Amino acid sequence: MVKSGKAGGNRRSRSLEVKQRRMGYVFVAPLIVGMLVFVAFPVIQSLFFSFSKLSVTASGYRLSFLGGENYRYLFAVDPEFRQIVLASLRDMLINVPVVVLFSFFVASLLNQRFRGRSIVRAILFLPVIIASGVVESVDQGDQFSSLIAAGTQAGGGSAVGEQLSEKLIEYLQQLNISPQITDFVIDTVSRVYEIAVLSAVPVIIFLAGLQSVPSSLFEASYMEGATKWEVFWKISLPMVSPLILVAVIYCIIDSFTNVSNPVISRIHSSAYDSLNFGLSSAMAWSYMLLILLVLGIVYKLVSRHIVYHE
Amino acid sequence: MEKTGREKWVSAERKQAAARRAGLAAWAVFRGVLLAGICFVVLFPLFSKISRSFMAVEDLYNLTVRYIPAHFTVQNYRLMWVWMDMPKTLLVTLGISLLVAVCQTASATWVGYGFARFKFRGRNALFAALIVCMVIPPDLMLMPLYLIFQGAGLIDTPWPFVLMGLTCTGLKNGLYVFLLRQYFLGMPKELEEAAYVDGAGPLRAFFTIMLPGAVPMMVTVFLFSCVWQWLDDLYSSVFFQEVQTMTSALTGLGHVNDLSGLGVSDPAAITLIKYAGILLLILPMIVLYLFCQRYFVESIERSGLVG
Repeated sequence: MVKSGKAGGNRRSRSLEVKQRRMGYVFVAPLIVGMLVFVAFPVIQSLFFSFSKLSVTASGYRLSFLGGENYRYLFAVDPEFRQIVLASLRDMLINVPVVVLFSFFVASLLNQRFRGRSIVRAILFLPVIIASGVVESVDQGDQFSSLIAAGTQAGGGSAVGEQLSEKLIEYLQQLNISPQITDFVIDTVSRVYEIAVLSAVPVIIFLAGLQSVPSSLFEASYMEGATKWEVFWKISLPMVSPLILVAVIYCIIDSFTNVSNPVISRIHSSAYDSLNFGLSSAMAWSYMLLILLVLGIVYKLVSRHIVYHE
Repeated sequence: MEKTGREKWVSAERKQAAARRAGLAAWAVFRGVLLAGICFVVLFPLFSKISRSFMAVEDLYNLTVRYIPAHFTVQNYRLMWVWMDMPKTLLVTLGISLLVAVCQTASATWVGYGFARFKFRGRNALFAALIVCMVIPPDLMLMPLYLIFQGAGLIDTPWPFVLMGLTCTGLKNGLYVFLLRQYFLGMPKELEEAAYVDGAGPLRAFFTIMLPGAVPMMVTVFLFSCVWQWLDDLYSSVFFQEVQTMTSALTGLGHVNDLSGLGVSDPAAITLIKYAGILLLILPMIVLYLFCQRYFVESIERSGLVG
């Protein structure tokens, strides 16, 4: 009786805290179970695979320990692996800035009011369905469909871009710009379809950000006589900068792990076509560590420039 | 004197307004052209696939035929329908997609609420782990997962999908938890506090107050989940060895370049049939998306992802 009277408030808030913590665990319990059973266990098991040779037998599988042999093979013997990893790193470095800028630009266009806005939004998200991994693999696995694309410019979307870039090359060559810039522009234009596909989700992320900027901020700055240009640089950009980080990270992950990435398809084919699970696991592990390293570096670099409001 | 000054001022103002209007109009034209161009780039491959899927082989060899089939035919669809073992495959895929979508939405809502509203030890570490999960190449886990489910005798049953969906470790599940967490974070805390004051427990507050408020985002996650499961060819190719889904029927076609079972051997004809197959695969999802897209885009916008 006395005790509860003395420390009533304190104890109540402490018991509330304990209760909160307990409820928190109740809510995330499924995730903890899943993480242990369906993530941690397989990931660790595959780490063992990567140091061994896995042979499938009638009763299941047998592991024979190889040490670092798989890794040595990958980095010292295999001529292809290093190359495709570097290529996918290069693709990422080219793609991510272009996709982030493009999708931010498109999102700010879509944030303005005009007729047909909702239709354009709906269309821009379609690539998530149309350009999924399965569709592309069926499309690309077919020699004839690329023939059609080359012959009548009607196959894949990249044909449109190639058409455009042929015209562009002529103009740019006449303009005498340095070849690096010309190459970059041509490369970007010829991949306009690919970029539009990669931008589908980032556009939505940015739209979400732009929509949550209070319109009173824009109104106030226009009242004070700010130009559109100033509003863009001083208000829109800083306000959505936290989302730039989200979009950059999404793009990096997407670029590294989508099904058409050469490393991912190599990992897959060495596991299921040549049935070399040990080597495949070694590839996947080294690739995953590389992605995490890149993500860490980018996170450090980008988050320095981010403005958190509130 | 004063009148002319005033007139000058008015005419200057008018000029400015006219210039501004011209600028706005120019901007609108530029924006229109640009967006129309992007839409064209996105839609063109789809339209060309649609037009080709209705062509007969002669049209492919006929160089004057580009977009509009000269010999309009549904033969490609009829052959693909048979090849894919259609009504059955469609129903199986639909069933598994809806099941996975229900499981993933339910678990992501439950766990997302836990992350958004409760403080507990290890919360940040667990959330970081969830994000790292999105980076793991799925192939890394496929073989061990296959061994787990094979050991339990669950291959060729829906259980692997259900279990992984319910524990937030299924296809792109981290993203769904993330989206719902952000959505709950954006909902005012006062709602629950009022419920607590009225004597409701956390469970009751969740089910009666927060859950109804989160329906738009749940629908969005449900759609994402349904579409991505429908198009998935990784998990379904491993967990389903005998059972055929839409994607496994199609990817089989990507490797096998003759449909001898159907009596077709001309590669051009096979290409056209493949286009029909691709359309059969994506059409249901496009229809679903077009019906729900309004709901869908707006709920993501309202999730207040900024945070």
